[in-house]
Amino acid sequence: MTAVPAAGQQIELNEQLQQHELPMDVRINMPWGYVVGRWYGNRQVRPILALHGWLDNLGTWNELLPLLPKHLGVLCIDLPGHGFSSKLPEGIAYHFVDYLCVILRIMEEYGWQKVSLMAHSMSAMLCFIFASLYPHRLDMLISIDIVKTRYRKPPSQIDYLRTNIERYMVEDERFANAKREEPPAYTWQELEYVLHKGSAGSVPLENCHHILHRNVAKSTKYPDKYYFSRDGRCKYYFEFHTSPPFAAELARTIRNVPYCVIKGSESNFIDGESQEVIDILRSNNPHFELHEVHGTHHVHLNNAKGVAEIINPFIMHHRPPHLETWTVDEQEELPEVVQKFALAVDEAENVKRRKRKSNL
Amino acid sequence: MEFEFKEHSSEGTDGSSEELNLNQRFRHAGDLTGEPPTRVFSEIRIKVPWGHIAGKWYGPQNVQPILGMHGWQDNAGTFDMLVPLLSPDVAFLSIDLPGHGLSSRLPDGCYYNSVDNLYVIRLIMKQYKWEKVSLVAHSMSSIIAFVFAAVFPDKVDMIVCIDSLKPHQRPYPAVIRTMETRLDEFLREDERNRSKTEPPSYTYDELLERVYLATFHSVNKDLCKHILARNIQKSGKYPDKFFFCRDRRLKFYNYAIGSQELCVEMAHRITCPHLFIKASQSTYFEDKKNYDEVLEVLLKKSNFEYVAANGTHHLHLNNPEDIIGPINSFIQRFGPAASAAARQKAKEAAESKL
Repeated sequence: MTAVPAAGQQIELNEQLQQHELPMDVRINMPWGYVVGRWYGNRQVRPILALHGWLDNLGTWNELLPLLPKHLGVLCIDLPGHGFSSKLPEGIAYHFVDYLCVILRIMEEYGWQKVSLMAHSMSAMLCFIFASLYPHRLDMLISIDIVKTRYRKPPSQIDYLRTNIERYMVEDERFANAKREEPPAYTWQELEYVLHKGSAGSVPLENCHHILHRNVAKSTKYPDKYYFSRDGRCKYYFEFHTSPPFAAELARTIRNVPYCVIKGSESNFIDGESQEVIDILRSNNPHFELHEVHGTHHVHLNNAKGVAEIINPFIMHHRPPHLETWTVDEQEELPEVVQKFALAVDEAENVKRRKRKSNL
Repeated sequence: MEFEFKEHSSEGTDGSSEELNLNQRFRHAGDLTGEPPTRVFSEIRIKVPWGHIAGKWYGPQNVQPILGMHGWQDNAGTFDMLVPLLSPDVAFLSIDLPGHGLSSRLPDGCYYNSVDNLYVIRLIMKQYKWEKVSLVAHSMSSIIAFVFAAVFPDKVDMIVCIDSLKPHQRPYPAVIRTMETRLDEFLREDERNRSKTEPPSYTYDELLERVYLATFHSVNKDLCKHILARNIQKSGKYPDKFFFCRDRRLKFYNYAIGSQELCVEMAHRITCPHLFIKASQSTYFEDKKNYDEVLEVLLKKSNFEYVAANGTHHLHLNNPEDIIGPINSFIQRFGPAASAAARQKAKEAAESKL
């Protein structure tokens, strides 16, 4: 089963999605390159924007997508440096502000005044900040296994700064050299093992292919081997660590944003440290929900059914399907005059149409 | 007075494609007014992955220089009045931080973060193969020097910090509101960077007035030209006018370094000789008790020196003679030459024991 890389699994997923449209690959231009995404499902309405975790890519959502409500599409993206998206230029480190700007730029690209977010891990921390900075631009936030940004005790944070910078410099040199020399290559089995171990067992071996598919490329030197094509410098991303009082202040501003958190039962990412923020959210925010679902940190990948059971009612409640037709009857059963009905004004030529441009 | 335009890089060529056009950009106030520079220097460029860092190298070229770093939205000219007073055997390299002065700006779409300056210092050290660095830094860079000494205590010989002791702590609601507006404004400014139209231009005197206002009168009016020269470019549209060409995205710097308790821990971690100069007419930029808490930790160190001097935030530019004594003494005792001598001595002592 592990011998065949993702193509087989991707076909399987597409079959499951055959009821409605196949996903559309999109590319959103950024000043330093582009971000790629896949728009699954309904393209007539504003989709949920789904953001993957650290060192993953949009494949992380593969198991969950077929189980989500059909009236809303999901635009999954590869964050810069991950999957098939561009990498940041040489010498530029990855900071949380860069990813926040990606969300804002996507909103501008599609003309969304508000955004619905679904995020895992590192992206969920980002979306916590986003929700705090822009509560009026967010109409739904689903976080997988994260409530708030993390805290590091000062000695640990100083060490973190140091290792991040020093290792980033090493990785940046490798990035510069990668154009000349291919990075080390591994067999597919080895890669699965590396990912499994690297995620501390959070991604079980049988699900590794979902994530590996877009993060590796076929080696030109060794016929059966692959190398990591995602940006190695992403490992040294500058996380926005917050002290407990600051995180509490951020939580206090998230008042009316529908915020659903799924905790993986076997994961320690949401621990006692998050309790203060959870309490603040519970008292300030009537739309805050916290549920525990059986699974590891990648609970949306390992127990998609359990996660869908929780978030589907949440999505139906906060982004219910719009009434798009005047009747619930199937189109073919309607009398012809009704089928052909169209507002005269839609066809009129002298009607001035103003395209709403987002004012970012 | 001779001044050379020389390329300086341990790798030979800096690979930078844009040559300095002296009709458009200015290395020091004299390029505008016709006066000689306050002290002879070499204009240098250090290669970095996204372009180059420009700087002015004063003094002997065969010794490791002190790295001079300016404040937010200033440039290498900030030390123009200080360098003539330095000891002649001391080399001093005053650089333009990315986006400022004659240095390359960051690529389109990239955000300026103050922690990146730690990385810039490491890059410069790598290019010149310095094991340790000596820093003289003002304002925002003074904060960076503090952080650098705490994060890389084994890579610093000494730091001289002018008028900013530690990362400023602001009330959290204000921080959150600032972050919110900064991101949007950054995106807008980033877009403007790509537009081909020239920004508003002004006459030389108007520019001086603007700099004077922008620094809240911190710089003496007649000395504004020193921090003006490297930040402006001759207008292509109006022959007698100039415009500011420092990267406007700098206005939305991401200052996030950490909380007050992190500042205290950093103060504990600093082991190198540390000279801090406080200007009497300058504010603390934050709640004074934060400043006091960190100062208390530092005062306990035997190699920390505190100097209170008369002057505004830019006292190193307005009245450098009031602070040069402690600075020269500090450099003489702990600067690159002293540190190299100490290392040599230790090496000889170890060898003689074998």
